[in-house]
Amino acid sequence: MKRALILAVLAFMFAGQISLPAAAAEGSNLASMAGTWSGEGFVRQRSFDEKQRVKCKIRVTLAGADRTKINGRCATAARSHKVAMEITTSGSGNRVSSVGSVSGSAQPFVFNGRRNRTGFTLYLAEPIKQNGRTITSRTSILLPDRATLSISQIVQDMVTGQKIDAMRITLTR
Amino acid sequence: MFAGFASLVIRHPLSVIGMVFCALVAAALGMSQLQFDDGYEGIFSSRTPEYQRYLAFKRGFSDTSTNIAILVRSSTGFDTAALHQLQELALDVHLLDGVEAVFSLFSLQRFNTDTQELEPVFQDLEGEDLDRLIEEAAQTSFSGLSLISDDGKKTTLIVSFDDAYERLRNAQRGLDGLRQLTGAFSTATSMEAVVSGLLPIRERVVQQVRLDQPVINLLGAILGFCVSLYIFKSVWIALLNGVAPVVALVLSLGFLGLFGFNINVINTALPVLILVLASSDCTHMTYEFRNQFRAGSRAEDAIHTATTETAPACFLASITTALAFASLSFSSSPIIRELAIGGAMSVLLGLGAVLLIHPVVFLVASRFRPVGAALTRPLSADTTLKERRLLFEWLLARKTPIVACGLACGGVAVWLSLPLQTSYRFFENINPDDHLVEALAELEAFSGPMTSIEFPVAIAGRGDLLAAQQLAEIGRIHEALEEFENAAFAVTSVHTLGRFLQSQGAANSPENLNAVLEILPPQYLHRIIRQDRDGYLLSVLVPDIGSERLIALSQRLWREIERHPTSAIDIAQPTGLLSLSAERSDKLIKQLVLSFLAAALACPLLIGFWFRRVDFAVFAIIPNLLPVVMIGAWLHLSGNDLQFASALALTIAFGIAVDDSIHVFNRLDLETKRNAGRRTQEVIVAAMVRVSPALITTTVILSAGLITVLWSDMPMIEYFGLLCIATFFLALVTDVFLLPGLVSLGTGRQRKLLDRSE
Repeated sequence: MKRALILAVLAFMFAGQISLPAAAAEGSNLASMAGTWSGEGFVRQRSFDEKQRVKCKIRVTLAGADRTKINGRCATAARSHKVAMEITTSGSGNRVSSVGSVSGSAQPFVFNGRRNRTGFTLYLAEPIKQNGRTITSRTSILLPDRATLSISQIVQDMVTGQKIDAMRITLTR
Repeated sequence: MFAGFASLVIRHPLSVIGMVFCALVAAALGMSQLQFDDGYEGIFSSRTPEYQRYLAFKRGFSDTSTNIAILVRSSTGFDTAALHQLQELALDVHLLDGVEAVFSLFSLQRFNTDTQELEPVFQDLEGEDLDRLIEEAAQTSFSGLSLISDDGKKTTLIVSFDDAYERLRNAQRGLDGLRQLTGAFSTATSMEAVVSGLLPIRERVVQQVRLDQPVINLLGAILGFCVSLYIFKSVWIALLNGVAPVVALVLSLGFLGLFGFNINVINTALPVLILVLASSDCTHMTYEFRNQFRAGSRAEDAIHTATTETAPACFLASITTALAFASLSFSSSPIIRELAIGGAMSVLLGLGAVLLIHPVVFLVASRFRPVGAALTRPLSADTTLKERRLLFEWLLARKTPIVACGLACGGVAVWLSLPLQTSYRFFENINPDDHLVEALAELEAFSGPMTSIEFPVAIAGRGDLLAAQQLAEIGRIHEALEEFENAAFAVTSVHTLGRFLQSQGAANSPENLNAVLEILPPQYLHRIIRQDRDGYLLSVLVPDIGSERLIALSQRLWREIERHPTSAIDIAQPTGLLSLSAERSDKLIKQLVLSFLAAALACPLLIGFWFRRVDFAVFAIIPNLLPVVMIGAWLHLSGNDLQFASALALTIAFGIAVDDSIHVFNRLDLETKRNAGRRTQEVIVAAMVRVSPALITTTVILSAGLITVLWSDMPMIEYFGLLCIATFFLALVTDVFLLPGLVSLGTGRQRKLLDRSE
């Protein structure tokens, strides 16, 4: 799940960017996302576990008008994962889909997202089973300024309805 | 031939200067291409079975050669704040370019029996009983390494870099990044973090090799000048005597650069050797220049005669030295073969520089009044003619006991040096009190050895990786090796993980093992399981105890493994970096001994062929072998085994020591031709009286040049220099005291035989 959360972060980071050209009010553009981002925050290893510090460092490269590649690494003190993701936009840029992979995991992760008025929301395409729970996640991304990316994630147990803050990371250029 | 050569050089000094200028331009280009390395990547590579076994091991498993250890010291132990700071350091290290994994306190896991899942031991630092956690950490072992010291004041982070970082040049950025992080950590906290391990130590060795070159060569040139100044009592002659050697040095460095030969721990003393060899030849020539000038010859005639008389000896001396270098090409190590080619070519280039430049330098300079005056001024050596004559007459009067004594010494020395064993240690090229080595030793004192003897294990047939039979068999071998020799060694394998699960109250089941394997970073997973998941690795953690003991230990471990027959697994012979270095170094050093024997055979043969005198070939053997076997005897008696440095030093020093004998033979040859009809005894005395000051001077120059290696911070380079110097002095003693007697006895015996046959 931690890998899924990390990918969710990456997906949102990009989702926020690719929607910027469409959101003319923000005056940003897709190309401005390219570059290196690094940041830190916390993550819960199994969603409902204890918080752990996490740091991420990623590189965003544009691979065409509607595709962007993200490569990087996110780490807790225990271990780190290489993350790779390719994100595709569709329509006017309000809908986002992405497929990513994490080192050590055979399964790719699929996300769908949409843009809203102040930021973005991204969902795991399918609920996943973890630690005996069936869970899903909603990740929010806020862009207070063009140099900062703030990401938070809420995980929900689909059986009990219990919700928890699973991740909060702030990235800067 | 040499008379014609001398005439040519004297008639066309401008052409010589032009040629040398062009050669220097090419050499400057070559020097700009020079690269430095530690030789680690090339020293052991070969087509031998043990190297192929090592390559197969590296293809299947993670190697520890890219592991870097960060030792963290805290004088007050690790409280919550310190652990938070340590956690930050671990996080930052994780995100450095090229870092594959970081194994630290925070990597330790425990099995939660409630959730039936693994969780980090250090999860929530705020609400936990830290003393209990640290005790738990001390008892938890995934890899056979303890991550925290018994007093709780030291811990370690083991950083694994990408395999590409095995090449030191690739690792530079990662190492810089690590040092920046640990430097900032040490500044910002009350703790101290030190980066150590194979890569940083290799980097330090390269830094030292790079630093040594200008320092040693410059000091060599300065000391050469000082010795020349002392002997010739003239700044002008001392300066002029150094021109050709400096050109020889530049040409040698340029050649190495142009042909892509890196400067490394094996050949780092080569340039200064070329400098001192050229200085030695120049000194012989300068002595003769002076003799000719003092005899009242015209400048052209003096230079011509002196060059014609000394050039053959210089030529032959260089050929024998080049031969000694070339004999190293018997080695199966690419970088020793590089030394063979680089050394031989550099010696020949040095010879070219001496023969072309030295006569021209003196020819041109002698036109200046101060130089001309200096060349005709008497020297202290000139005033001791009588004493020297008396000495050699005294020696020849006692030739039989002296030669008998020499032969007896040789016999004892050979007998004493026969039991010499080869020896190699991984970090022998770095000072043991270097802070990197001390940090590694400090770390290994609590964590256990970071090096190991590896036994790759294949699954027989098409068995399952985690099937009970395979696990049982590997567990049996694992435990047998742990019990081996009073449980002297820690062992890691997949059995370690099974034990960990049992210690946590969990079943040693394939499911639980899989869960543990899944959380391991690939670098650590593949220290236990083959990358293609069709085999395991059994590692016996062993410190670097020296090649001789390592080879013996590997053999004993292998015999112990063979005592436990298996059917579900096949265990391969020992390998890994430690085993490879022990086995290969043993063979390479033995090859160097063969090289020495080849040189010891070829040099006298060449001398005999050159002078067309079989007796000279025979006479050359004893005075030059004797110093080498005496050094060998000393190595054995002092408990120093035969190392790379000593084997190389003895081979190369032999080639250089022969030079003195060649100058003696050359002078004997000249005196015999000049004084036909004189008694052999008188000819020998005349030759020795004339050549002995040059022998002493050249030995002092060679030694003074090589003593500069004592400025090196690399113990093996110092050792190499000291052994060479000892060989030169012993060779001087045998050439001055033993060789005249040998020649006299041998020639007398020949005469008697001739008389009888007539």
